[in-house]
Amino acid sequence: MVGPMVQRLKDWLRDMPRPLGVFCCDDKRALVFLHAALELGWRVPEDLGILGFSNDSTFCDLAEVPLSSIGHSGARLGREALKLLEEMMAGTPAPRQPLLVPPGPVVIRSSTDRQRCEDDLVLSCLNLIRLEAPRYPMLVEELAQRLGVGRRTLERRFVQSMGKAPKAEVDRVRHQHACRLLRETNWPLQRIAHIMGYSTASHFGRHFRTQEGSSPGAWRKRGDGEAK
Amino acid sequence: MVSQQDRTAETKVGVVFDITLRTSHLKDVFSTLLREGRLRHWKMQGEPTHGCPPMGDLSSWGGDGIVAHVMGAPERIAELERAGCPLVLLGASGGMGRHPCVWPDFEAGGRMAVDHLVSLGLDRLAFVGHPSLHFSRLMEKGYAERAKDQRALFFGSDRL
Repeated sequence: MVGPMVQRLKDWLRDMPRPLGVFCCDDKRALVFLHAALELGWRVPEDLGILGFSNDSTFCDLAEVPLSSIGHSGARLGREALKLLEEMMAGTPAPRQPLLVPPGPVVIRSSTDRQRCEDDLVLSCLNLIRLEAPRYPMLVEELAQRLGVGRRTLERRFVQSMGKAPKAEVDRVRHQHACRLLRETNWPLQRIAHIMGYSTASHFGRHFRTQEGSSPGAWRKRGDGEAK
Repeated sequence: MVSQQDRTAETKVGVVFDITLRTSHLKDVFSTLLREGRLRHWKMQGEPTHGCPPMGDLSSWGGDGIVAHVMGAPERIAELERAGCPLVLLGASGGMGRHPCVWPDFEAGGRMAVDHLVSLGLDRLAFVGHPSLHFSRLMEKGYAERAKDQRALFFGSDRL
């Protein structure tokens, strides 16, 4: 059944304007939709931002372009249901309206990690940062070299388009990735520091604190959910 | 009415999931129900395949309450009603007016999606869902309404 569905999605997508933002009602559908879009040659997230619902890492992290998704807490849903049942068991009348549990936050992965920009050089730079910066602290010189332009040209055009320097974008992407690893894994800080190319956990901690105002451990314990 | 103190020692609560726990979300809901119930010293029952003692025949089960995730069939709800105890339904399947429901605010999810996409400069939007799914309809409603509020162009939806 997936083949015909993908074909129909492709037919539908062919008539759509670029850039386009698409929200899918769950992560599994977002994954199938992403597959169809990539086969048609759409660039994600440059031409197409895709957002799913549930933040199920089985689908979101394994996608060819990792999928952003709106999370919703199963634990909170379970607690609210049990609290309501307890009240009813104690004789409180059942509410007539559904009890709605607010969703969120939006967990940003690559599929919507885009910013407004029409300069192809800057778009390529953003893409390079998105792909590489989570692994090590990229220098602007390296970015310029890999994009085949001078450092000053890259910085000037980047600031013109984005209103900030490329280094600030590298820092933002790295911080966002650090938050994601803290939120979604139970890995020790040493391991996260190593994966992200920091020399030590305390080096990672210092960087994190300058962005977030608290240590990685405290941030994880609070369960803040979203990077600043 | 049964007081909290009277109930604690012998309270039996059923957790009924008619679907497989195939997503991390469903697993979270299920494990929270069991954990929080056991913290209250309730005897949690359900399906042996989910790691719970079975509830057996509902008409003679004698439990105090049920939390259920069913797929919307009225016959299934009628069957659970035979237990004669309070019933809380999870999920957003339609036609369940007789019992209280708890579900994620899917319309708010749709609104949140528009706000996120528009903040990235995407003001031409579309939706992928399926009209046969209640939660999908709710999401699309919130999404389309917010797109209008945000003056984004909504190019419609496709079913998948």
